[in-house]
Amino acid sequence: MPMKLNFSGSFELNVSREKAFDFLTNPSSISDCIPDLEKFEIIDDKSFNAKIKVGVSFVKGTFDMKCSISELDKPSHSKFLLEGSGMPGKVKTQLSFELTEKSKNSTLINWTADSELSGLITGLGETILKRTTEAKVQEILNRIKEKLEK
Amino acid sequence: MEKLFSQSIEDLQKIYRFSEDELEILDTVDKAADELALSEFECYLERKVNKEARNVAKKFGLYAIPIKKEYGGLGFNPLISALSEERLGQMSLGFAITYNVQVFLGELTIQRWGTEDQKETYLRPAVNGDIILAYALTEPEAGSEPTALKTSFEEAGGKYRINGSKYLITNGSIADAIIVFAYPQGKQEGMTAFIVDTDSEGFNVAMELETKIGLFSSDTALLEFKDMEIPKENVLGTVNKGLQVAYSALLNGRMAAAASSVGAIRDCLNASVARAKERFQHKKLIAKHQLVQRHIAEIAQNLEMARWPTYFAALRKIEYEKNPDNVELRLEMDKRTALAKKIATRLAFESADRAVQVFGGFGYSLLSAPGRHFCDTRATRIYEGTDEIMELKIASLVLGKEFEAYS
Repeated sequence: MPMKLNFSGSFELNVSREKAFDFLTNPSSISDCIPDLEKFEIIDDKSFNAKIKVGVSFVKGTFDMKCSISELDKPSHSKFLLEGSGMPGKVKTQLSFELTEKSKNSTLINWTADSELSGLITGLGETILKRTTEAKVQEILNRIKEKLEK
Repeated sequence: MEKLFSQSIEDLQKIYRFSEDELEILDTVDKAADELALSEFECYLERKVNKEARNVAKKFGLYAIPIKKEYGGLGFNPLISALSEERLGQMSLGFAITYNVQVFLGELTIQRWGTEDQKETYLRPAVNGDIILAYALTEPEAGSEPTALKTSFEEAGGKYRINGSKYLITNGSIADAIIVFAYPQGKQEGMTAFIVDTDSEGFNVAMELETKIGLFSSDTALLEFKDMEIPKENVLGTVNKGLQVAYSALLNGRMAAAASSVGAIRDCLNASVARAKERFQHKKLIAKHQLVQRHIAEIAQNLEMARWPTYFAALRKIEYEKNPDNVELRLEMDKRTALAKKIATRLAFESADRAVQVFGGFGYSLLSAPGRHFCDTRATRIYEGTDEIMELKIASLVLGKEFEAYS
């Protein structure tokens, strides 16, 4: 049975909701924000493939990810389906963004991610996997902020 | 809050009334453990001391938990300290031993025996996390037999001069101040405790013990003292009465060792249950295989057998701290703590062994929590008093003083 991990969080971007939405749903701009990205291939405007190195310390493996946008409701909601496999195991994640306009140039983004993991990777245990993922997500959010707000 | 830790608090609530402040600090410790988990894991794999841990401990006020408010502490009782150590041990025994030495062997010892000046100079900064403490009793040729120490001191020009070495000293190479035990030169009686500043001339870290078989995120060192001069005011307690200081510190250290081992058992149970519910073999989850169930049942039993003697010792210590001169209570504490330490550390090692078995091949790796606990719990059966010393202590406390092995 796969291990289930749920994540959620929120962050603010000092840009308009439209600009934030366009950025977060554009595969090309998202690719700039993923750390340790080894390969990236846009399939169409709603799907892309990526090869990502993930891990902790010197223990790293690569995942071949297939990503697609499954729901789009501009400018307030989007949902991604991310499926990956590699030597460390398999991962399937549904990632949702809800965008709320705080002011003309400020957007609040609430996100949730429901993941299922299986294979060797689950042996690391829930705590380590959660903390590793949270650290990675924070890195991605920092890059998004940096790119969008510059 | 982590599920089994929360369960533990709920169970205890049936016999102990927690105050709101106590529940709040336990929640804080839980958050701190959560925040520390990843850096501990990384440092463990890379076999390096977790330097971030000190900042996290400072941020959450962990070093202040059992210390009296008048010295900058939070003033929580031994049960709360034990539960805190349990949660930290669940996260990592490497951090738990670092914390044990800083707080239980270091701060509490200075609080019990130190002068007001020493408390201002060493205790208050330690509580704030501004300095790190270590406790140096063991020597290359003196472990379970403290009366065989070779480290010596002599008076010289209104100061004391110390010569000797100390072995397997947790926090040894990162400490700012160390509680060191020595005999008067040429004698094997009159042990005296000193607080030593590690920036003193004559202090040397001879070796950082990187070849140990666990606790990789903690620092363990071999220390040397060559004609190291110490001001007379740095004697901790009374000259020639250092054995009392050493034993009272070990009483606290053993309580922490027991509590952190309960945490390790808890984590072994958590990890084994999760693994057994995910892993398929022979077309069914291994949780449905009866021989795997036996391992899980044994770990669950170990948890119950380890935690209650530990909690009971902590509860009795609350009484002892109210009456520190009560000899009967002190002897009871000695026995309760030895029982808790022996039981919890032995069962933690056994639980880790069983958890490795549940994990199969992946358990034979430091990437898995059981693999790490298997390596780490081995040390808990040695430090702060070996299994064998605990058994001798328990036996003599049951049989009577005339049956003491070394009398």
